Amino acid sequence: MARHLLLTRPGHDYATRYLSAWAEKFFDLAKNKNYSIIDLYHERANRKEVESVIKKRDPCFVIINGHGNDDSITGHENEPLLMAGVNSSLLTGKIIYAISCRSARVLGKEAGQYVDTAYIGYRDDFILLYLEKHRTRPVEDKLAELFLNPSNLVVTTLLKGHSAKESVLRAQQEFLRNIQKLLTSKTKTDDSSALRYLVWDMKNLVLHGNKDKKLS
Amino acid sequence: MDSVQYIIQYDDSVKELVLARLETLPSGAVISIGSGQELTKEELIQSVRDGSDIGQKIIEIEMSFLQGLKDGVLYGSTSAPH
Repeated sequence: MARHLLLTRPGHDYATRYLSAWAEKFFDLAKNKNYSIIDLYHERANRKEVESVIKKRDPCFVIINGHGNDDSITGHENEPLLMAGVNSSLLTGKIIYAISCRSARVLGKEAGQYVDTAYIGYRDDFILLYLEKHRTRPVEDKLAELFLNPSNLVVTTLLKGHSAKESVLRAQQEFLRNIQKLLTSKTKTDDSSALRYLVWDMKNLVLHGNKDKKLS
Repeated sequence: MDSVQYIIQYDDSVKELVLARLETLPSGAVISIGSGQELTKEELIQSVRDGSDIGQKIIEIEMSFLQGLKDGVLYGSTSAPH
């Protein structure tokens, strides 16, 4: 039976375009691991499509790139996709990774209470630093890489069959590796100014629910 | 950004410290923070000067970083998953 991975990739501002571009980096691995990727790109990253895909295709892994707040995560043009107390039960039995601000606070906590569900996200604002000159070529942005490589490690660790807890720990270790790299004398002062934001993201990456859950 | 009230008010010396640190950001750097806020280095500095919600958040992040230094966060004490 095909294993489905649902991914939303909005693109209405630079931050969402960065997240969406960097998400492509784990496509090959997902395909090699025999996942069928359901890629809701730009306008298709809307609530109707997300609900429909979850109900009809039952993806085991849901990756949401976008903005968010305590109660919800959003898609293209900031349309709320998944909301606490509204449609979060759709996430039951899945692993979710939300690359957005704050959604782990309420939505993630609620989803984590559903049977056999693991919700990985950020409990405060997710900070991303990038360089204006790379806006049209996000994957070449070395400053953004410091933030998005650790984030992608959550996904790749899960795709390789490790647990939700392991994926969070590895991502935090990668954040830490980047932080320690910036502390060396070879680093330009410019880049080391990213330190405080990496520490922030590392500390706010959390997991709710079934810590031992793996992709089935 | 969603309307979030930040209760802690920081005094001017803290604000000055944060402003000095923000000056070290690379020119051309943009920060994405909150729901859809994207600020250049100059806008970020102005937001701290103005004491806006984003400015307060930036100060909170800076203070959290300094607290983290005290707690040894740079040397391996990551928080465990919840």
